[in-house]
Amino acid sequence: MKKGDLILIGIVLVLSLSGLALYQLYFASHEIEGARIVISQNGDEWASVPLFEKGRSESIVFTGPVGETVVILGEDFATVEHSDCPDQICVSFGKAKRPGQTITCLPNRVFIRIEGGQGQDIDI
Amino acid sequence: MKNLRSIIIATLLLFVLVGCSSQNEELKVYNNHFFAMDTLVQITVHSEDSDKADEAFQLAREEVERLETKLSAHIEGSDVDTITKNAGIEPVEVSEETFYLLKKGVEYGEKTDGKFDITIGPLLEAYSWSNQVVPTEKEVQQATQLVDYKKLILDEDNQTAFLTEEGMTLDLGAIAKGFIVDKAAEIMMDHGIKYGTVDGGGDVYLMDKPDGTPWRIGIQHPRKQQGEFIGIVETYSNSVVTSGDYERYFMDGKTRIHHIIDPIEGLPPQNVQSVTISAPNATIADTLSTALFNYSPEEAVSFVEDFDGVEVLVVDSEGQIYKSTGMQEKVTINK
Repeated sequence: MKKGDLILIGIVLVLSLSGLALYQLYFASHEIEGARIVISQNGDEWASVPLFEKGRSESIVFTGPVGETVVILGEDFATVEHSDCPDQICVSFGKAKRPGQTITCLPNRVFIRIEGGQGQDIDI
Repeated sequence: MKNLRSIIIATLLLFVLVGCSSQNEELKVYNNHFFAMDTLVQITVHSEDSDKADEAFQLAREEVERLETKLSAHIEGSDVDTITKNAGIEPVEVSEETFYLLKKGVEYGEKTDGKFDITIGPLLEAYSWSNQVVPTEKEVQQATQLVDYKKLILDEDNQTAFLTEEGMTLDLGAIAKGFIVDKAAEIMMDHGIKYGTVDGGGDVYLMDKPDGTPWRIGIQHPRKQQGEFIGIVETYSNSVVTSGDYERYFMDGKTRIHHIIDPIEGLPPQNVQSVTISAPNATIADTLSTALFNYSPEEAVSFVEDFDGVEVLVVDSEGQIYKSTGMQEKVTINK
């Protein structure tokens, strides 16, 4: 194999690897940006909004069998601020802000999940 | 010619790289959830099309609901409810699935010398987590006397089950959820789903992962906010289940009254915060994560060393972590 051949192979390899790196970088960031907060009650979807939304500060009140569950949507998170349920597991979760995280209020059947994106370091 | 050969080699390399990046590109991720078994059931599948995923979700949900109506202690007319109502009266004919699970329950009662007991109902009824009521010593004693899996008579020929003493009650809560999760995953796999997970409130069945890497399961830190992990288990095993004293509890002075009750002592064990089991299926993982809560951490580790494919991670009351041999390779503990 001549020196020219090696150079040619090297160039193609570098181009291929660079392309692959750029492809993955683009799609990884694109996926994280594409992450969404999905909120449902009794299996019915109430909201599906982008995880990131500058200046957002909204509250949604869900009424269920044990009273109210209040969900807050911030700039880059969802949290249960208050719930009338006895165990308060949903309130104790804090902020869900990473893809894959879920908050459940079992008594009021409210379910929040951060979907999409490849930013999660765990599967479950 | 030599230049041509180089171009061919380079082109092949290019194809290999492009091929790597587009592996499983045709698969999409679909999520679904519903409430059953007094918990949230989350299902994820990686499938080529949404119709196939939807059909699998529907089948899984129907299977969960079908089995729940047989195995729940809280559904009137279920096999378990009927056996309890006929305690001390007469044997009850049950479905094939119920009989299988009762046999498994008795088998694990024997394997654990009664540290796992599916007749634990009277003890669970003695505690009230919603009203934060602790039973008196006498009430615990009375309830404990009614707990004994050896007094559950199973007749293989007639597929019947009989609790020999009036007042005894069955509760399959520590085994049925895992079993139902396994069955939901099985019906989806029969339907052609290869990749995905079924998570029944922490009882997790893992199918294959599309990229062939191990699943990464976060293990909840028993004393930190929900979603904060004490470590991550990487596994190809089919199930990972954690039982913890933080799931349903209240404080009685300095005693944590959590939902796992030792069937022999009649009390919630205080020497363990959580038990995580990795096993070939969720039935085993569910059962052992409860049973081993009633062991010391050293005993729990020693117990699973005899089980093929089963590993354990125990967090004791001081936050110390104990791992079985195989678990040491699977888990990364967060600093």
